[in-house]
Amino acid sequence: MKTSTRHLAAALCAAAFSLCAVAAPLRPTAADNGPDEIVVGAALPLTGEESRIGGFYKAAYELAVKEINDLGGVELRVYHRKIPVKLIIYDDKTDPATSRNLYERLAVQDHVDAFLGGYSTELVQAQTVVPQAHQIPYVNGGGAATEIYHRGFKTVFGVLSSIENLAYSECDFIEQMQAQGKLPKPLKMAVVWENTSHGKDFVAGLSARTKQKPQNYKIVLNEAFDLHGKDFTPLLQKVKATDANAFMSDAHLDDYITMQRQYRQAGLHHAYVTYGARGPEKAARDALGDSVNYIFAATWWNSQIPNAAVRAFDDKWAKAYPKIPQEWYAALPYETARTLFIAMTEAGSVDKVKVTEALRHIDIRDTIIPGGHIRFEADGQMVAPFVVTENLPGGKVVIVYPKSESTGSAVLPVPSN
Amino acid sequence: MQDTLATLISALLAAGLYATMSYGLALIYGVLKVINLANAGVLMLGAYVTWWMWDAFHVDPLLAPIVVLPLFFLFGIVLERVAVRRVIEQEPIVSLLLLFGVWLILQNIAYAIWTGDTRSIETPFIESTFKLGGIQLAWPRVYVFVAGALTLAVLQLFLTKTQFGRAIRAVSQDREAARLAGIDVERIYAVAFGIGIALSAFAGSLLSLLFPFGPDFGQALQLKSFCIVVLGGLDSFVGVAFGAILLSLAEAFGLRYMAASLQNLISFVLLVVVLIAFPKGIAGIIRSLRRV
Repeated sequence: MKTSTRHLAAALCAAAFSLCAVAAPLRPTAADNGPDEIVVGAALPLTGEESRIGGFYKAAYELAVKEINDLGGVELRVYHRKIPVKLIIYDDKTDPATSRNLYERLAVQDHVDAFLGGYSTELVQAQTVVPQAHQIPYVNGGGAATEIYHRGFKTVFGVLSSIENLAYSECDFIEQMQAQGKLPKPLKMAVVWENTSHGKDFVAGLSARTKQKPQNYKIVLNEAFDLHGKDFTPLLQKVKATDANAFMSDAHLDDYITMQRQYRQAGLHHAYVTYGARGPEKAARDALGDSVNYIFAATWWNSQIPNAAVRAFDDKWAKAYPKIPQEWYAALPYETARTLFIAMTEAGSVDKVKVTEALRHIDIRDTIIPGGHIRFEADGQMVAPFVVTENLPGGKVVIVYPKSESTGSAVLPVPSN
Repeated sequence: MQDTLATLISALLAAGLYATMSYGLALIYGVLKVINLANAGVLMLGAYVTWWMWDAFHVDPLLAPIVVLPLFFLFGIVLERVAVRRVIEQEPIVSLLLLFGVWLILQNIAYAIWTGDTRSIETPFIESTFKLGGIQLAWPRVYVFVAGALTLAVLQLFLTKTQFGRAIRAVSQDREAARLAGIDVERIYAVAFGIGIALSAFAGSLLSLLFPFGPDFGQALQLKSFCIVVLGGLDSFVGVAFGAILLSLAEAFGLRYMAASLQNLISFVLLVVVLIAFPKGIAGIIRSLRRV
């Protein structure tokens, strides 16, 4: 009896192993011809507060994937062939918890080879715990706060330069203008910032530069406000009560629109006005009309950057999406996806450790990003220059800094009505 | 002195806005004893309808209430007949959840129709300002304040001077006694709910003159409306107006000494304090003073 039971158990085990042998290589390994496809996944805010920008990210990722697939896919050395990319995108509804869960699903159910990141610091911060937990390479173009990269996560990379760096870029520009006598010295700044890690980085950058160059700057008001606020009039009254000659705000798009409208209604005027990375967006001009004139912004990208790669991207984008404007929300995710594919090519495989290692040492020179160079620091975040733009009447936007990429000169101080 | 005056005027203008967005909530609670969690969704839809008429048909947003008020009055009546009436006699949590569900549906409809893009109305009036004793004021804020004050006056007149208004008050005080007196309580419910929804949509239409908005619009304002209604006393329009003034003064003067990021904290601290110390709100305090 015992023997027959043992035989039965052995037979069952053998059957189970045989089944495993048939079922296991759902995706072929290096010993074979390689996988049929490279699976890349992302969760994006396609609905909810950030859905407008999420739409840009989806379009950009799809463009980058289409482009590489039109060429046959990603060249993987170990298989001696190109393998097409399959992109899985889920909607996280602009909710950090949903976003995190969807990345978990991408890792556990969809068995992705790599992640592309979502948009907005809050969501990126939530989702990046998943690539760290599963050790899956993750590249994003939507989270700039330094806090994301200061957690020691080894597989997380970001092509957005930090908000502190944004503040430094604006300061570099301001110093040039001070040297030309176009802005007062010291510049008395009323600094208001959204109460997020994004805003904290902005004020940290300005504070650091003020400490470093007290002859150039003086902070006369330093105040946080709640994200997605509705009534900024009490805050703006505080600004009005100061003798500031620069209004330095760090805000998301909807707060920028609300605050700038109330700024104008309160009759405020400063020699220099900025909302950090916000300024030239079409949505803001549609909402505010001429009230956006003479606002300065430091952005990660601008379609006017005089560079052949940018012009090529502009053409590609206009052809693929004639109705979606070329804003940085389009360029950065496109470059994010391209960076991941280049890293896979350099790794020669989709092995997660090798791709992570390739990302760590990547050095791409022909990019559309200001400065044209993608390379990650030890913490996984990229350091790149920002372009400073100014909105001018007639819907014009000019790049005023850096000089190498400028397309016009700054109108400063901001004219009063 | 100038700063204090500017803060005071700004607070009063904000009070007009706060009161306008809370009247609908107070009326519906006063009569039906239902907390309208869909208020934020209706505010948002009122803003969208105003924007859509301006964007597609170039209708001046100041004229939009001519369409918004009757349209949402009808919507309110339909919503009451189809959904709210069925749960009104059940535990309060049921109507709360039902209207929360309605809010989510309205929000998702807005996403489907208008996407999540930030919308806003831009007309010369919205940008216009004037100076009063050296203080710059925005015409749209003054307009919203005046509209809020007029709404309060019209509501008070309607509730005290008309037969129907008196019937609404009777139902809000004691529905069974009103029924025994021959009042058609179900009809009062439907009309009161319709008026409440129309008032919220009207507030949304006014808010679109001040703020950009998207499908999530109204969330933060809804919380503020709850504070105001609790402050004022859950079923009194005059109390709501006083609640709005109290909250906006607390915010405006509080923020002169506190960080702007604590603006919402002021509302919620007031809410907690009032709930503990004066659970019947300002209206309750006035009533007890009258009795004394």
